[in-house]
Amino acid sequence: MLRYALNRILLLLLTLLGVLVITFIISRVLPGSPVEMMLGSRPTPEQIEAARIALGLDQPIWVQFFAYLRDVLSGDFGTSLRTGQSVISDIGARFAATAELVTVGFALALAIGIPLGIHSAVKPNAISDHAARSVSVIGLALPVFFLGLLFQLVFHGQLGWLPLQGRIDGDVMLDTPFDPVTGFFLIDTLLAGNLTAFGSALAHLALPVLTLAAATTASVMRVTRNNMIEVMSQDHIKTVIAYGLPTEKVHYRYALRAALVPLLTVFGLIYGYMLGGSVIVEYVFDWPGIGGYAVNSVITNDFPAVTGVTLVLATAYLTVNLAVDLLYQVVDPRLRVS
Amino acid sequence: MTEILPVLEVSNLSVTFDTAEGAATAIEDISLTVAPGEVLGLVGESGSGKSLTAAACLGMLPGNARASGSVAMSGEEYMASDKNSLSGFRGRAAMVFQNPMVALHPLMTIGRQMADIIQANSDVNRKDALTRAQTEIENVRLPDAHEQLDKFPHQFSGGQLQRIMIAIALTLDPDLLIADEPTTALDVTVQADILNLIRDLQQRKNLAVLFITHDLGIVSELCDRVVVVRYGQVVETGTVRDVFAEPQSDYTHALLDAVPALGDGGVAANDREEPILEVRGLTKRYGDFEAVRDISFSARRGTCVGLVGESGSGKSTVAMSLLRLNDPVGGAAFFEGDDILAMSERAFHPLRNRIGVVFQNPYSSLNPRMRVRDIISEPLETHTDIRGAELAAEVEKNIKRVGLDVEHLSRFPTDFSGGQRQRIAIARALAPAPDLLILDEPTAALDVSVQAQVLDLLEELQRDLSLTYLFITHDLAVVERLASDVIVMYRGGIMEQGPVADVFANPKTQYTRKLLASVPKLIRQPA
Amino acid sequence: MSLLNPEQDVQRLSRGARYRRMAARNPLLIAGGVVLVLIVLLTTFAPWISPADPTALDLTNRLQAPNADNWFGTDVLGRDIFSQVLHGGRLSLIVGFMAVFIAMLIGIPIGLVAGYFGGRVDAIMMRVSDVFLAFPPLLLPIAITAALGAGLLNTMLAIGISWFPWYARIVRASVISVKSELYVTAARAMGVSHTKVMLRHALPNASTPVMVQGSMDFGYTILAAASLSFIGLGARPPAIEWGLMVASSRALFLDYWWTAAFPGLAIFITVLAVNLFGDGLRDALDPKFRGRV
Repeated sequence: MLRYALNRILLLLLTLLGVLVITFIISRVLPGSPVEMMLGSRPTPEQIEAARIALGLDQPIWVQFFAYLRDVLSGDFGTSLRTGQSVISDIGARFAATAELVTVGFALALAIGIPLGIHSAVKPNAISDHAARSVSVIGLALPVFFLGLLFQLVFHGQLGWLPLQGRIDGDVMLDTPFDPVTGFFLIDTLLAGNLTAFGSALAHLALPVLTLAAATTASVMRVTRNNMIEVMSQDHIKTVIAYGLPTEKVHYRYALRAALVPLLTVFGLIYGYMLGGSVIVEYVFDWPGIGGYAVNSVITNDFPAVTGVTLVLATAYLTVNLAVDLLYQVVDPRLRVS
Repeated sequence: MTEILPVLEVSNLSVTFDTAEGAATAIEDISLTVAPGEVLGLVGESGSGKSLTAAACLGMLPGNARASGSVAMSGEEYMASDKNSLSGFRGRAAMVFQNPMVALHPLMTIGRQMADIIQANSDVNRKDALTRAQTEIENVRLPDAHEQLDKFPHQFSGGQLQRIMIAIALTLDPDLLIADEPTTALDVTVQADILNLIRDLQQRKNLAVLFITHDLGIVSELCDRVVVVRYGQVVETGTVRDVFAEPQSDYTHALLDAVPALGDGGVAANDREEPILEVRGLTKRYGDFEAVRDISFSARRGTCVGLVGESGSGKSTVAMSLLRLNDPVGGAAFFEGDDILAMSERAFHPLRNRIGVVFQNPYSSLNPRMRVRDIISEPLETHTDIRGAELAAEVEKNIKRVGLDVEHLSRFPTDFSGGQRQRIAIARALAPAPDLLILDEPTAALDVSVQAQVLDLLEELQRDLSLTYLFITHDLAVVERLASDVIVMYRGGIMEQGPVADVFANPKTQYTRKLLASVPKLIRQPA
Repeated sequence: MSLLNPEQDVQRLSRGARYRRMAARNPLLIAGGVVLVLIVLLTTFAPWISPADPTALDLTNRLQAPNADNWFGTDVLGRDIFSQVLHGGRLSLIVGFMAVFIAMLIGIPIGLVAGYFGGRVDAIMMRVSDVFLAFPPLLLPIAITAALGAGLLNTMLAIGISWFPWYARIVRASVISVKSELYVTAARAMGVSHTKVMLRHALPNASTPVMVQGSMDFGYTILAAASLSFIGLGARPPAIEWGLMVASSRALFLDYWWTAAFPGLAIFITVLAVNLFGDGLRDALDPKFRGRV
């Protein structure tokens, strides 16, 4: 088991290297080079040349790459052209916001999607199954940005229940500040016993999380349903049904267990989709997270920032997939090499 | 005198399926009885409805099935249309299914699953359930019962898993055990063990057994009475001795005739011809695992050599090595004097023409997206310049040779049955006019009657075309019928080899003796 | 002569009848397909059927709610939104389709070679694909379009390039399972060359999962293209594209809901139709799901 884990970590590092190669290519080699961006309009040839030397762009490609590699490994992702801060500190400041959004969203998606998926699989073609599947199909077809706008329109514009954007009321933050212990506002406000702030944070979190969770829940539900149906038709389930095991046990203990194994991988993938979606959601709701930072950087052609964010998100995604792989080993006894 | 109630009485059972094309009749008016302590064999080929009958007895038909008729267990009658599960028959009947490898949940221990089942069917606590599980494991003669409970299904062999399935069935305290082809997926020697176990349990507990199978040899050895079904109808019923000695219906008669039985004699050995194939010291390793070890044998031109072994014996590996589809680690194989294992692929390429192959699985050996015509012409297109009208003529010649029609050429494999597909595969192998034909279990996946037809065809072709066969099989009776020489393999090595008559009459190794003894013997003599 | 009947020829329906039966059992397939065809027709013939010129400004008619003249209302410059939606569809559909096409173009050969040859070749190709898969979807297209510059051509390329690993994977898995089929072994035993085996035996039998995946991906690529346009990386004005329309309505939509609603709905309905069609296709073609619409 340990050997397998080490193997996979090695693979992860190798893949990360590949990711770095790609981000490097994107940031340096592709047209639309940073030089023009930095120098503004109509730079003279001498200015361009000077800037190139300053940025090290006159060096051979592999020298540039190793310099890049060295910088990244030492935590230097460059300086944001837009904020002027180091990219890594920009990202660090926004990390918790995205983490809170994504974690709550994913947890919600799993908590709703899995039971719905099971229920649907167990009673295929019942009204509830059709209803759930319709909702799922709709959820998957709605563009995330559109849903976000729709929610804003209805819950803020028409009903006035929830705030339009942001993470918490600016006034609340000023009047009753609380310690950012975890960076998760929901937790921190509770820890500080600050219920007004908690309410505000929750209200602000509601729409973004719902938007993000919508498509994710639809995915989770559908995938769970499909896997459960597949498992339910397998012989080992038929055996225990034939031997009279109570339905509850069959579904939740036996079928779900067997379905969970292939589901884990898919959940990892869905998590990735969600990370991608979070970028859009943060943009729509002005959520101060990495995604919003990424979009703003992209619009302003801020390459160090874009590549920095890409690296961070890719690493997060890879780590989740690694965790899934290792979890596999634990869950499936057939994979354990004794 | 009080009448003894049959353990199982099926009366006028009929089952139809609702399909998109309307109602399809699967079973029509089947009636049978099983007396207490009796073993009844339910025999039929695929599609005969035998498994469905068993499912109907236990109310376990699929959702779109409509049943009529009644089933009575120890006198208690109910409609076949009632839905039920084995739990409903607790104390009366239990069932053992065909494929034990997939019948248990892969992620949970045996003990846990058994305990769950026991607790689902009786009012005991967990500890007692586990104790009961252990008792039944001991009953099916698995050693170290206590440790077995903590293992996972993938840690057991097929035979061991089937014993566990029987143990699970026993936890329902049945009077009747329904076994649906329980040994079909198992090796012959393992099958013999399981059949012994069933016989043993039957005698010890006075179990009645409804044994569903296509293997008439098993019926002959194990069963007291037999019911023969075909196309969903009962063809014949009676004691095994009577029916097998003097079958009343033509179908039963033909079925009995189609079964190759040991002791029928063999093909005469041919000493005169030169060997067309001489294998010396063939060895193939996969990493540390030795699949095939130091294999040496020869095949004389025009004869059929049987290569016999159970699963894991390496017999298929030998075939693959001879076809250069895997790279043997060592040894030589002389085909008409040239070592085909030492040649470059380029040098060997033209020889592929001369060595044909027919595989076991007719559903996998034909490309479902190619027309039959293209399938048969492929070898010719690869090795010759023959095209156009001449090619078409060759293809037609070959399709007719195997007993099919020219009009079949424009169809796709999915339009054909197993036996017909195998004929197409044979036609493909014969198209380039090979000298040597390697047949890897060509009839193993076919029904008994179809198998007989294909074997007839192969025999005829060998005679007419002077072919040499390397016939790989696990079925000793088929070897006796077709081959003049036999090679017995076990775990990668040759146990013994020689003329069929000699080896079968006087086996020199214990394994061969065991193999011969394990084959269920079909006895057709009257008592 | 044997007394047993020779096996009957299984009567099969003609291909046409089989397809018709398949269609009858899958209403979603039909529904999705019909709507999709409708959308394609409407957007293709937009220039002829749209009631107004989508670029025609009419400053006296700005931000009108949907009415008899302007079914979908007008935007901030008085342009008819209905006409814009009709015209904008073309770009969304083309980009979505081309992205899938590019992904297949790159991914299928890679998967074919990797799955067929296995070993080192396979390992290298899959590692490279894995690197692309390491990026959460949308992120790589964002990064690539950021570098290449905005514009639909770049969007198409970016999405296609980041999507190819899926097809590589599917084709590879298919080829690997086909490799174990005996007809491939038989072909090799016959001496058929590797290339021929790959093209004649492996590839055709891998086509079904690819088609199913492609039809399901089509919906996703349309969404991705629209999302990229929404954040300003895709279509640029004066191009008319659904995502771009929603983006430009962002400042106004709270008070003028129709400026965002209709283009958004257009995307939604199109993707819905595509997904239903893709689902129906999978249900019809995948034996595991047969009879379980």
